[in-house]
Amino acid sequence: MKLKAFLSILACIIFTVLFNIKIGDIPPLGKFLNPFNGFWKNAEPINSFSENSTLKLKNVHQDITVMYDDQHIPHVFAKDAYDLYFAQGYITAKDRLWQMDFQTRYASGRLAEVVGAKAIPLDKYQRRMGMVFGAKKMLKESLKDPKSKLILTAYADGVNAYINSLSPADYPLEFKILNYAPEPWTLLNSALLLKLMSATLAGGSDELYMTNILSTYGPDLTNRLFPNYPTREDPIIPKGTNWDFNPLPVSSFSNNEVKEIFDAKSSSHLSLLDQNTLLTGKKEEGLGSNNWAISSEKSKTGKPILANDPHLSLTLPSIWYQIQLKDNKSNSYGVSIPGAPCIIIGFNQHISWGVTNVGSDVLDWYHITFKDNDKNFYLYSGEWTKTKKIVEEIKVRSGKTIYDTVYYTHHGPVSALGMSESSNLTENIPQDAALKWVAHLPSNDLRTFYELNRASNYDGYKNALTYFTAPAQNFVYADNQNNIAITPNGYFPLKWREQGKFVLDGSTRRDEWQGRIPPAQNPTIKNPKRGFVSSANQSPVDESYPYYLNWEYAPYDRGHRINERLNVLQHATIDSLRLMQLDNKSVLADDLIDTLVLATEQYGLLKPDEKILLEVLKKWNHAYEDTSKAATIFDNWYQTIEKNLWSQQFNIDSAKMRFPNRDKTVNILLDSVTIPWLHNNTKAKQNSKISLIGNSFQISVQDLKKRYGSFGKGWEWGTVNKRNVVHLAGMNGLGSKEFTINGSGRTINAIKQKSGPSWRMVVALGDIPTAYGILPGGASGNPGSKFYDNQLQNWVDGTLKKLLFMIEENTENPQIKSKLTLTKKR
Amino acid sequence: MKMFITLFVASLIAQLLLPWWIILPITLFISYFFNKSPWFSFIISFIAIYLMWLLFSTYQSSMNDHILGNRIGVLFGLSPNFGGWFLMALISGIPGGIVAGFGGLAGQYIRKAF
Repeated sequence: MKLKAFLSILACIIFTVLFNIKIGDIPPLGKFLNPFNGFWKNAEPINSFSENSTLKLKNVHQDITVMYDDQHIPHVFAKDAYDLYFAQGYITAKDRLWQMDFQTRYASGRLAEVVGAKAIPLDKYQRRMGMVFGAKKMLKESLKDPKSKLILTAYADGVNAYINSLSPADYPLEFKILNYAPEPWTLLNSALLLKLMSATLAGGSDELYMTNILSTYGPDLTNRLFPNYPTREDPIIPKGTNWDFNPLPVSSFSNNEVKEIFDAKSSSHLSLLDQNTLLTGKKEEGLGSNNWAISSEKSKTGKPILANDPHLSLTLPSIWYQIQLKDNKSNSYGVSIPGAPCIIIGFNQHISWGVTNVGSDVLDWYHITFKDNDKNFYLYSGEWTKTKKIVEEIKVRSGKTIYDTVYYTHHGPVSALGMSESSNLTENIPQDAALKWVAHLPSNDLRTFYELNRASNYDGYKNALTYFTAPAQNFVYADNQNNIAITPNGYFPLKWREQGKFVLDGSTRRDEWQGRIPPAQNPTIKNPKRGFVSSANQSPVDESYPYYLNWEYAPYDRGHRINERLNVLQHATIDSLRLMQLDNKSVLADDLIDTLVLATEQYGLLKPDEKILLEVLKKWNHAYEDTSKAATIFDNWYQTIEKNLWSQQFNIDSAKMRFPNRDKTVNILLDSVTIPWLHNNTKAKQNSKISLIGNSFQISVQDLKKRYGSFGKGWEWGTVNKRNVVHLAGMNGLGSKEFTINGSGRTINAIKQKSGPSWRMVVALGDIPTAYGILPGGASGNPGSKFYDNQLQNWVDGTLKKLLFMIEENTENPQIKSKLTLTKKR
Repeated sequence: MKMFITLFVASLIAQLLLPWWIILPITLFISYFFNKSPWFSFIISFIAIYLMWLLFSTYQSSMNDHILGNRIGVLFGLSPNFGGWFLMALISGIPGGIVAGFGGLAGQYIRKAF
């Protein structure tokens, strides 16, 4: 009997322990499934809006009111700035705590602590990119500014007040799934989240590919196929705008010197070709954005209207957190980054602003010559200079701690060095190269948003922009005094032409950045004659701008289409601009389709069914609509042409190269440029182009048939590109359902497989602004809340919701559903 | 019946305040006190807790229009077209039931052994 007693007690202990720990990816079953404090606790009742409540908190100065509207969007009414950002921190954490925690772990290379060994390569990558190194510099600089210090501190206090109020039963769902607890929020976390924006928008590079191309094909062909300015461009600052400033001198080189630099690169970097390389994001098309503002003359309201849709990788919980923030001196509405104070894109009573990314080159690789394998010294200016070693400690959940030594030069961290882990991230970091990146410079970017939230006129806008460093953004602006403006703005390094197009030499002063383009000389335009300003990640300027910013930007398609439409726009309303955000017309198809169809007809050799498909293309309206079959054919055809044209010579996988850009491909197809392997003799020139196009068409048709069956409904653009919005950590079931939708990465409505408009906003300025917006998700970060993705269907349908902008605290407003009061604990 | 009700009420109250594994000492103690056969104690403890977890999760899921139950169903590899939330609720009671059952069993064996 004693044995039975012993065995039954043992069974009790075993099962209790087993059900209380996470095994592999399975959450602790007893802890997770029990309805009292497991996941069922996170199932929010759908009918009852949370009731009015009052919380007593230590740090609060005076009473703060938070009113939630029928979309669960908070409207904060505080008396002073501390209380305002305290409340923002508190309620953002209330809705988004896990997202904030996970993203800061992601940014700082601490994911393995919670998800285990599978995150080690990613963690190493983030540390070798110097994410924490950059965030620390930013924080140090920001804390010198009393205002930034105040808002960062207030926000963190608010987040921590919320975290401290939680018992394990209250933890957000994903903490329960992964079985870990939230940590105290630090000021550094907010800086890390801003750095994450730099990593997303200005963290790509292809210098390794370009250097490999240069060393294989030499300067002549490289310059011809990868020129420094595209043929087709519609720059943000209109062509022909005068630059009324005296530019700083920048070193430049004679042709001979340039040749020497190139020759040196050609030989010294051949060794890069076969090395193991570490991973970063390549630059990706479609991860861009649109914004524009129209003048009072173009608008029906008699005041400017502004539109912005920033495109990012779409995930749930939503990337942005919608909020209204009012204190005694400011009242602004818009979207914020969960984890950072202030509103990033939005409006106040007088002005509205928005951003798109500037594709300027702010990330360079410097090839480092080490003295020996110990890597203690590297060559600089003829002398052996000491490296600084930082040992990164990566704690791994249920595993041993990993140590990774990162060597820092004065340029920055040497990112790739003996990294052998491979992963599905792309590989484009050269070996033995130090990273010089604008995201590592001291900065106080948050102050820009603090000032914009409070600006009431153009001067306020210009002043706010002076604080901004990275990631450089095209700040669009409109106010109710009938001004519109746009400024590609940020820290633009002063460079010689093409500096950083290829891997630079880390041992010479010649290759150093030469300072900064004076912020006052950043490109900008106010109230242009054409009656609008716009941007879509294309080149900020024409070739007359005295400084070098980059050799390549996003293709001109979206920008050109926006300008084409804005040029003819009259009596515009909010709805006209909403419809423009949904424009699916492809400029690439406009440019190419006649030529491609004609060439294919000349090619002959088409089977009857292929002829029918060519007819489908002829009748196409060039719009990427979800029901369009022609869009599917064209897209596949164009990609096949690109592949057939370039993949032999510029193999991405084996040779680590990249294709020439779309502008160049279009030029070749339209026959204004020749290339040796396609046009090896003049006689064959015309034929080879025709057979490239015709043959690609046939290959493409075969491919489509193989994928989607015979021509029919299965070929529709929406059907072949089913989309969904995935969960931030890729957890099954926590993403959205699948949907079909218009748009493509090449159109204004830039919807791609994994990315798209992360926020669509249209603001009509006036005495009181009228604004509309939509998120591909919702306000709540809780998958068990109906506000997790309640805006998604509207986003898919292309409709916007009117934004409730309250001038005064008014609980009687019928849209207000509940009230939370934060009051001082005495 | 008395034992069932005692189990139900005692563990309900305890679980509203304490971690889920509080059911272990509770079932153990109640089984010791009621002094039924070991396997009867196992079954009645299992059923009491299993039912409680099933009912309580079903209630919470209904209030939520089953949004979360269906999502977690997918996370656990259940088809969303096949009553994901309800299968989740059925599964949910199992760990509680097992621990409670062994608690009941242990309570009796301890009583008999000492």
